[in-house]
Amino acid sequence: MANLIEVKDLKKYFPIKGGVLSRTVENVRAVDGVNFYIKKGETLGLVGESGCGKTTVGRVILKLIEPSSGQIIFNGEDITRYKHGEMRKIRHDMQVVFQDPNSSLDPRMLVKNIIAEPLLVNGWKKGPKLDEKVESLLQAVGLSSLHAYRYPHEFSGGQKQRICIARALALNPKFIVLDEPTSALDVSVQSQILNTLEDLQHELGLTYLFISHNLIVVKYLSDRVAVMYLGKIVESALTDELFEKPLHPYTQALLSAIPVPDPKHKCCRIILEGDVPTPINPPSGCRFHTRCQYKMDICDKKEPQLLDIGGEHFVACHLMDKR
Amino acid sequence: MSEILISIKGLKTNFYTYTGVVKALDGIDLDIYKNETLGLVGETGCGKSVTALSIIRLINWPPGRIDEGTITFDGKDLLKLSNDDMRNIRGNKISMIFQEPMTSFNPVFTIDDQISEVLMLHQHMDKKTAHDKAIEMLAFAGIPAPERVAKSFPHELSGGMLQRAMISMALACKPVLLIADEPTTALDVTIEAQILELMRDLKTKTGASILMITHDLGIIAEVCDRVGVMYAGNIVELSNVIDIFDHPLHPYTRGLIGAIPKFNQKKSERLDTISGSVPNLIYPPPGCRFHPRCSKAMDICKVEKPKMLEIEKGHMVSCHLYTKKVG
Repeated sequence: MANLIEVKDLKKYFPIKGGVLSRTVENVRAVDGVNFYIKKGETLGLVGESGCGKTTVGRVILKLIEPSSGQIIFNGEDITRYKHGEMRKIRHDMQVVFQDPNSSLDPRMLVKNIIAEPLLVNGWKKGPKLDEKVESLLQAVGLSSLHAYRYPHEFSGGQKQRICIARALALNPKFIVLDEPTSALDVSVQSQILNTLEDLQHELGLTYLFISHNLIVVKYLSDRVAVMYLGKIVESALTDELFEKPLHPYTQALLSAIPVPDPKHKCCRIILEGDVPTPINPPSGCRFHTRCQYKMDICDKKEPQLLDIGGEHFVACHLMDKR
Repeated sequence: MSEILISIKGLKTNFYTYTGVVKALDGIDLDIYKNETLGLVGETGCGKSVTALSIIRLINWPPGRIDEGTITFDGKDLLKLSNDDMRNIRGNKISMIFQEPMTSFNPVFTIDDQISEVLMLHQHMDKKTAHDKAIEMLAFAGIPAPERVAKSFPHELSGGMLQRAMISMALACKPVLLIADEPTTALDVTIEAQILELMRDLKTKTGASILMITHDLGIIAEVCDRVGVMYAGNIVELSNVIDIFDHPLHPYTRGLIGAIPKFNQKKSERLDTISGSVPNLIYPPPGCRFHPRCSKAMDICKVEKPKMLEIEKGHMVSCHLYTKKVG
């Protein structure tokens, strides 16, 4: 299968301005050299703790924020330097669903108009055909045409998220960034949304970038998973492989930290010491060395490269050098 | 483990709002034993936090009021105590940890000031002793460099660090009951693992009982001895933690457990769902409050509220499916 998205050495620095002249004093290195690809029709899960840059990656790919350097190739086109007007032409192929449905729907617009807006912007005319399209979109996400003439506040969180998904689907996109779509929802509603996303992918052949901190949800929905730590991808592999034999010490700790809903499950848990360091002055060498239990001399001096160890499994760790 | 520490009977808490009366708790019966961790699990708005706040009487009037029920602790009914007597218990014998450590501290005082305040108020310590004790408590909660942390203001610390400081504050007066309201929801998984480990550790060291409120069944399985499952203001099932996961009885509990993706679940297997969403508690459904979403609802479910029945030893459920079998 061909790659729909390819990201090469992507960097996004947010400058911190200070002093009388507002010069850039330091940079927050939110994303610092990220490489990955997403094949057509697959779901890539992107996991990591808060502040590791996963949301920034999602937004930079959609060019909602400009990358500092690197390359983004979407559907064979290099879109890194595309200006606003050029982006507009391909925006209908890439959509996004955000974390908090409450703040991503305009409270003063009818659901009908919310879903029709992307269509109207892209050349559809008002009329029965548009109403029909809106209705079919509502049905696709498990709502009914009755819901079209209501305002967002009349819906529950799960239903609002469905409206956001319907809006994202309106232009028949190829690619959707799902930025923590279920973390504001309850478990019973979360499972409904996950099932809907799964069905839509099958029916419409969508490609997802699924960003989440919930590893079990990522495991359920993704074909491949990439683990981020402080602006870098430390490991990526096929989902089953990553969960069965994680190689990077951070992935191992992250996986062992998940509370498993089974009281008989007692496994050896790796408890990491301390907190995630700040991305303003990330640790030298391997960024994880301050919390790593296998730290060697080389770790704080040389930065490990993302190594291909076969079978689409990539790891960035000096422990792999010996192999 | 057999001695009852606190006993809640028929607790009803209502919120009087402009749009109507929100019947948040609909007669809760719950016993917490000595030195156990009891979990309360349920979805948003099911009344878990209201139960906790009712126990330490932090329900504000208006709009909230505890209308019925008794909470027996130490031979006294907490609901009949005067405000002053209650203040002597709150933070002293019963203390609480809140969900968001970032917003639960006063931003203009140092951590040391805030922990010392509790000790000076309840244990009548002088400032110097309270300060030493505060540092001792911070070290007890596993904070490296407690002197430095004590001098810090809340915004200078990370979320995990603040939650540890919060735990040391809650444990400062050696409470017999610690209420933890979603203590790890605002934290990352690796930090969450640290805090859960700390709480397990502290329970064995201090011998306090913990009431753990969470929406995450994973946390329940990790730390709790017994679990109460709540739905729309009722406890629908109460049992030890092994039985709840092994053979859940109530249809809601089954749905809840089925709805979380399992660790070994394949992508092709669909998740169970519970249709619909949580009811509005201003107009709760009559009879069993779960019946509009229940796949096994019968006629009786729409009219009569099921009673709590003990199906096996220590395994209670309130559902009409089991009414016949017992009696």
